[in-house]
Amino acid sequence: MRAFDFFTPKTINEAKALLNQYQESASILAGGTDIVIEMNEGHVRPDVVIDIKRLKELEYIRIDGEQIRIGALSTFAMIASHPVIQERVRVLCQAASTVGSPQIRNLGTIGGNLATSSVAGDGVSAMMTLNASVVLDSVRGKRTVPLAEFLEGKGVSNRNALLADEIMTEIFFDLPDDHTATAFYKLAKRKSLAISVIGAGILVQVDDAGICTKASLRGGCLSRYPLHFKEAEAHLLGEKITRELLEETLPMLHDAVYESAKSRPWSVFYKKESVQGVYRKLFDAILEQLNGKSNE
Amino acid sequence: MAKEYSVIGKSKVKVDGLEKVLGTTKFASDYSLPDMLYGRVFRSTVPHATVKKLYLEKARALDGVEAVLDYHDIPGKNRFGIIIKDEPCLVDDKIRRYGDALAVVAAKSPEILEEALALIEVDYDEIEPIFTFERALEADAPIIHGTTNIHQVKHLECGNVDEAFKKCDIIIENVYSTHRLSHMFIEPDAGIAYYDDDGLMTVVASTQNPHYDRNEVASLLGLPYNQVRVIQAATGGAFGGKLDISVQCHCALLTYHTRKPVKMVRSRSESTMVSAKRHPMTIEAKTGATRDGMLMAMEVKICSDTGAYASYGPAVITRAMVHCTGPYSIPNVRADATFVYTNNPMSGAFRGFGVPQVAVCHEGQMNALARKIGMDPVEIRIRNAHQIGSKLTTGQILENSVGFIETLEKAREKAAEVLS
Amino acid sequence: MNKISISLNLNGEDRVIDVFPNRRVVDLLREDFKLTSVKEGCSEGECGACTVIFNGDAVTTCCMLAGQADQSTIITLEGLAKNGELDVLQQCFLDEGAVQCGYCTPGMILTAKALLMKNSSPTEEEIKVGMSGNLCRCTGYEKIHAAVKNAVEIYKQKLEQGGESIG
Ligand SMILES: Cc1cc2nc3c(=O)[nH]c(=O)nc-3n(C[C@H](O)[C@H](O)[C@H](O)COP(=O)(O)OP(=O)(O)OC[C@H]3O[C@@H](n4cnc5c(N)ncnc54)[C@H](O)[C@@H]3O)c2cc1C
Ligand code: FES
Ligand code: FES
Repeated sequence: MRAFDFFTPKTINEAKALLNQYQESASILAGGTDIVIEMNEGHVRPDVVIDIKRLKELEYIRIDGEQIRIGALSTFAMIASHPVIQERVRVLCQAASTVGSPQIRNLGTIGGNLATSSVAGDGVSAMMTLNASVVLDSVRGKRTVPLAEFLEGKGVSNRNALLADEIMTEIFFDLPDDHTATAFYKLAKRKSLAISVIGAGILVQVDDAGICTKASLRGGCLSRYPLHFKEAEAHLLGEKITRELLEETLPMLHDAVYESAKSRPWSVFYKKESVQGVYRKLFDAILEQLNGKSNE
Repeated sequence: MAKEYSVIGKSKVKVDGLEKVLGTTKFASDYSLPDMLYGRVFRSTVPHATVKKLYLEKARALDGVEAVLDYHDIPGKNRFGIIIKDEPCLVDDKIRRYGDALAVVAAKSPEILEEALALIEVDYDEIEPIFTFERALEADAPIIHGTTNIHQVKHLECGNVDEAFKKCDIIIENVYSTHRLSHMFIEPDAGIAYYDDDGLMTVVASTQNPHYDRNEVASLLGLPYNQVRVIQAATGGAFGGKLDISVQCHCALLTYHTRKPVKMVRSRSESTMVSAKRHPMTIEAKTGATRDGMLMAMEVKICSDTGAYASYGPAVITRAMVHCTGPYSIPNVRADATFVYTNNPMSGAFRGFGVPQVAVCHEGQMNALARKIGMDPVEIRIRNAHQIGSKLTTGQILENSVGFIETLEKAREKAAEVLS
Repeated sequence: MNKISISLNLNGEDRVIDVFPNRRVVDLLREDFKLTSVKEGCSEGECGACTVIFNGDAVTTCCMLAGQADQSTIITLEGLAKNGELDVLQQCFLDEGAVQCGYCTPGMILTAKALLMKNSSPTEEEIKVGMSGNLCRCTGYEKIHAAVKNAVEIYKQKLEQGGESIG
């Protein structure tokens, strides 16, 4: 591995100062599960590595009124085992528990997942389904960016809006209320240590009469960033959620995947079929949760 | 009553199990010696080419680099191979696959080694690469070895196949293809070479084949056999994939020139790139039977790609042919097999030497036949199964211990038990 | 490049070492501390051979830079047997025939150990998920799974008899 200098800042301010000093020549190290492999293979060659994993102040999961705030350094293992997330935010809990393997979940952080902004990032799909926002901090000050905007932005890497001196400190989203059901399904070649073929999320909120008041459907690995099934969402909004209604969206999912994939090699074409199987499973999960809730 | 044996039928603790659960077992990469150098291979990034020029000077000039060698530095024979000696230790005439070895480097640390490898450059004169069986046989295709891309052709025949087919009630024809497969032994290939206290060239390696490795190292270095010793380290899985030479010759060559211990550990990607693979096969099969499910005739054409080097190709071609009927007695059989060289990764030994590939075919044929006749798939197998006294396509008579029917019956019972 | 100082508790002993930062924890353990039970199989987090117990969690050390080990507690397979006596998991792997070539074994045992340190009575499914980050090319997993199950039973009995705990 190429030579570099290694810093272990004790506070966020120290980390920000280092980033400000070294800019593009520095890389942030969180869990290491993406970047250490890249460095070992020589694809990433920083002059300076800044290890932020010890900044315990960025390792938290807080319920803050209507919102959940997650410190960027929270690991997938922490997220998957958090009682409120298990209970109220299944989409995130399930996504977190499908990442890599137990070892990877013990190391890998949600901040690292979003900063890597991989096509197959399971955290990215789940957080997009939840309409999350991220907080980016630097010596110049904090800014809050909706995740969708973050992913489209051009920062140092052109994968996202992160600038060279910035550190992601927090991800937050509205805590799903007890009228909301969410779920995540990962289609992959194996149950463990498998990159997503489709990593899809769903969120549906209903009112007392069962009418859909919020819908979010996002499918990872179907376009550069989680594919937004807008037509399907519109179809659900304002209608009573039933299995029939949900299944009426299947052709829309099919068409959206086709539109997104048609210019790519033939191998992605099967996804227009498999996306329907994936969402059938998600609909089952949603209906079960909603029925469970109305029976309570 | 069943006879009591001291070992058979008993659960025994593995002789080397204790060290393995303690973690003290030494695999090749766990060896370290004083003054040891780290070695690695500089490999081609094109599949088919001649080398116009190899630039080694910058790497040689780097501090901490103790040897940078190409084929000129080989004192003995620059060819190895388990059956046919067609693989160079370091490329001399031309590159035949992606990842062919062009030079070897030994340095004082892994970091210096990495830096040295990055300093080596090469100019190629590229040749059209051949990636398919069909292209290999075309008249205008470039030749990979010698004068033809045909590695081997074999023919096996018994009975009168054409006549027998005329008498069959049912004929099933299908084409099967199986893919190239990597062993993925969990321990990437590794080894260490050194001169022992008696001045003997010694190689400790992750290998399945120490005696063969010894001969190859001796031939490479131009040494008599009694001057070379190869020791098999605990080996982290192989499945046939560690029968070929991996690091043994490269390590030994570096030790020969530096007089120092040299350790080489392949990365997973290097190991996967250049270790042998399972032969991919395309098998055309025609099977004929009577209405009551008795096999009468079989005709099989096997085409396979042995890749850039022969490795165990000659053994695989024979086994695939001889086993093409599977455990079934068929009186009239014709099998033709053609293996070609291509610029793909080399294919070699992999659990079964070609037999698993043809099993896909003969079992597929049996199922198809059972379906067509409307017969139980186990029954049709039992009806045709080899038993004591059966004659194989090669003429061999099975004289004892043929447990196939008994196994099938037991399996059927077990399945019924599980399914009920 | 400046060396960094790493202090850690390694197999129960406090250790300090100065190293260049451009090595991974797997290199630190194998090369600097000569703990060669830690194996490298894939170098990209996929096989689990390099697993150790890091601050109580199973982690793959090929995905970690040496600096990440500073101020940590690490257990490798060398640290499992106490006073020449095998850990229950080691004994179960041996008895059950869960070891063939042995290259995956250190990672397997440590992953199982970390699992049991957190959850002393895992269900079958929890064992499967817990062990899902370790590949074995030889055994086919059945015996490994059985070994871990047996270990759970034995630990349970030991606990009931007021014996030592797993950790
Ligand atoms: C074997 C294996 C399996 C995997 N399986 C999956 C999977 O199933 N699904 C999946 O989504 N991913 C998977 N991954 C990828 C990876 O584990 C995740 O993306 C993980 O979340 C990365 O987090 P990290 O903390 O390890 O990031 P690191 O590797 O430390 O960093 C990744 C990148 O993000 C930057 N970064 C990290 N934190 C911050 C921050 N707070 N602010 C700004 N920049 C930051 C770093 O500079 C670096 O560029 C797998 C990886 C491996 C090795
Ligand atoms: S070597 Fe680390 S997981 Fe394979
Ligand atoms: S025993 Fe060989 S890989 Fe598991």
